[in-house]
Amino acid sequence: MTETDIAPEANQDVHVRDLFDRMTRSYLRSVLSDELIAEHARGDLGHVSEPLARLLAWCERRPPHQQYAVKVEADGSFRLIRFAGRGQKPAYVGDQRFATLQEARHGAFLRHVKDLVET
Amino acid sequence: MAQQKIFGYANRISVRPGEDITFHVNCDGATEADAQLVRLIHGDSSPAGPGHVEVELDSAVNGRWAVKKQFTQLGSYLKVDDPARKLEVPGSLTLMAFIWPTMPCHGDRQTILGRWDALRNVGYALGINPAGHLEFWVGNGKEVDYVCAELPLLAKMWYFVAVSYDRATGRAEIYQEGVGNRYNSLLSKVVPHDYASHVVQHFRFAPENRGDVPFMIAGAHDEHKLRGAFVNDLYAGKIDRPAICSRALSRTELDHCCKGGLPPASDILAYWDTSKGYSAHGVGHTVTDVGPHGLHAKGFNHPVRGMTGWNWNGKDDCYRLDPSQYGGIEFHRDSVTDCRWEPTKTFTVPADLKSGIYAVRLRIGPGTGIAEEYIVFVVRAAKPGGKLCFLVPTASYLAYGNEALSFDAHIIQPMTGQPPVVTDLDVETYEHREYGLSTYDHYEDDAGVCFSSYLRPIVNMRPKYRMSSMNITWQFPADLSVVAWIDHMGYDCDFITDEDLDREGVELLKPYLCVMSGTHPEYVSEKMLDAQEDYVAGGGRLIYMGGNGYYWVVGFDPEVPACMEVRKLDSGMRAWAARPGEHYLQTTGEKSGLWRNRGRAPQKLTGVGFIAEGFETATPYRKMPDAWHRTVSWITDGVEGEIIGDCGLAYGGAAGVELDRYDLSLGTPPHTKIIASSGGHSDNYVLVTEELLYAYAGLTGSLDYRIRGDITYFTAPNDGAVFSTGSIGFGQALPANGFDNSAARVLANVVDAFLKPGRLPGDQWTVEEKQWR
Repeated sequence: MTETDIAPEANQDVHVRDLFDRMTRSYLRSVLSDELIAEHARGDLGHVSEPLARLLAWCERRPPHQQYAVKVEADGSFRLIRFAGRGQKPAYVGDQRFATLQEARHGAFLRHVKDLVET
Repeated sequence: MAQQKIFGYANRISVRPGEDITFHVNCDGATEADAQLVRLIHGDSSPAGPGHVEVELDSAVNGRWAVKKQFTQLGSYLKVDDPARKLEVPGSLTLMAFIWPTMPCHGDRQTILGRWDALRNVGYALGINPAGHLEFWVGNGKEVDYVCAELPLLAKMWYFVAVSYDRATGRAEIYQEGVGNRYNSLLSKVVPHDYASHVVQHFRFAPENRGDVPFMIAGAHDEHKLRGAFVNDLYAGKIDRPAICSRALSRTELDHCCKGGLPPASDILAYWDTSKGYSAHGVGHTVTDVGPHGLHAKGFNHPVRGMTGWNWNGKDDCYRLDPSQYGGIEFHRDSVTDCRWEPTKTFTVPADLKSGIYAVRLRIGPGTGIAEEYIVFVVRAAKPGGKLCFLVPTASYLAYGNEALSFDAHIIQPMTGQPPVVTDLDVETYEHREYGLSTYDHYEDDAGVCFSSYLRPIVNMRPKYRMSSMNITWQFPADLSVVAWIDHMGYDCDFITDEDLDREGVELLKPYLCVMSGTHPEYVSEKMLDAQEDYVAGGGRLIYMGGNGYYWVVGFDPEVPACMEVRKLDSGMRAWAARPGEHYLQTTGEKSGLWRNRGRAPQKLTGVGFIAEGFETATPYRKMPDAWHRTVSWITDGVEGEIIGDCGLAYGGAAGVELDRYDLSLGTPPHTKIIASSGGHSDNYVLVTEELLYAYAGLTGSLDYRIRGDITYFTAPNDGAVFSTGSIGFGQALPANGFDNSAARVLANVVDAFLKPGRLPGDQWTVEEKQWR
């Protein structure tokens, strides 16, 4: 290795993404309301209010290890999981079982909201 | 007790009465499985439809099958045919190659080339050690000696690497030089890195050789008590022109080779010229040894060819222009295109089995989830019998085979607008990854997957399966909704596959008055496209039942027709992008990518082409003015009002998922009628990228009128015609409300008309002023 040789470093893009995420979270916290959560709980798909659309966009664009998915259990109930990385078995999140897919999706949404306000 | 699970595949996807089909089964936790031949009717469990429907059939194949654990060899590699053991080198040697590693610092050993027994530590090999350094190692069955370079290799950079080993003195010299140019590697010369390393060691002992150990490139021989012999220490990346010489070449001689020169001819034991074998029609799986012994190497699990080599100049972008720049062969450690399991059962299809979609259903233990398998195959007619033909889009099934977008694709949640809904089967398939990937996935080295084969279990090519990222049926199980409608209507229908059409061409279609596609026939070879175009021009009637069809240029491997190849490039909604210079199919010699970019947009054949995709919701269509035109008003007979397709199994409407539109600028026939069109889709529906010149805000469903599905119709020469639904969701709308719905009514009008020979309804109206009702 020469004196001027490169030293491998972590991807510096992560800092830029963090800055963007802080700005986004700041806006989302300002529009978060009981009405917004109630709108999601109704399960209206497709055309939603702009604040909810922006909140959902943030949820969906989080890094893979921060996203939630729904797992169908053998008894027909639904649980929340998180992906653990390439080739790894997903991990359950909490022990709550949901009776319907819509309830499970809203459960995932509430997890995101909790992450938004607490982290 | 071990977890009970059963998976299988068949050696063919299409079979005629009287022909044999062989099933290969891998089973954990059971030694017998209950086998039952079933005819598949419907495969979507949505409560909006009839649910899963299959018909059990009496058959000699039914009963208890003896099953066992079978192992799958992952990874692509080359194995050298060396029956005279010329490479069982007793003396000095030199190994060399140009390499472009993709995961050099992955923490495990990778073999570039050698004759190495990883179980017994016997032999010799040049490779990459777990720390990412180039290394040459030898073993005598007791100990291993090695010499390695000073610096780890950088990923995606071309190097010339070699070792000169003098057996008499034990001297081994590693030779490593960077050979990156302005185009061939990831980094440019502005990066201050010293790629060279030359290290000398004197070994304590000489390598032993075992007679039964093969010489391999990109892998090494290993053994396991249960599994037997297998290939381990797999290499990830490209290798170009590997060679072995029978003498320790000097530094000066290796400098010559580093510039692309050949070693002294008298010293060559084998020189695999990876740039040989190309023709205008591609390249096969045999890698030619131009040395004195002709020790050719054979590829397993489809090492990727047609890839740029160490000397690629960035100007010649196809191997047909200068094959000498295309010596790169790319290896992936998680590639599998043939599980090579032992046969479990062979079945001769009875002469009286009617054409249709069938499966052998296998059950062990509880018989559900991963304890149940359906090995699907299509039975063709012994002779064309029906007037109607369903073209089963098996190339598209392969493209999506075992996709894992929910798990690995960061874009999938923004794309679908919903969290994935996964099952035990999804988790099992993803966690173990032994059945290979889809062309929507990336290898662990981050390269896109360009090959997919059915010589492996394909878990999403079975009934009941729902695509986890979208929580609807997709491809095969979605197409069963069309099959169920055909069955419900009582049409006499023959079934053929993409593979059949690629092999037999338009002659296969000519006996039929009407040919129907699947819901998403996205992957199409040139022969398939030619056949359908010629069929319509010759008077055939085509019903394009889907969306985003006739999109990607694909090739079937002439040596292994079970395997399909695609390269994704330039534009289009694509999961990965082929690298510069690597856009041509190795299986056919054609440029891959979109048919639209080859001058054959789907609109030219079907009237419509891909415009948008979205999920979560779907809409109905609304009749357009042409619907009342006298020449085509028969299409919507019986549909009161303006709305068509207001229910369905895919998000509740017939217009959804992926949508196609009429576009005269892309070759929609000028006399095409727009019967109906959707619109007002949600903003989860986005414009396809091939439409983009400049991106700007608002290219989404509620803001861009182009985002819609069009139902179109046009007449063709000789009483031919094409009817297109313009939406994937249309097929899944057919079973809704007990098959009694407006989408099904429209389709029945069209099929009934198309199945009558001679002139089509409405063609007697010729005077324009009389043509509007």
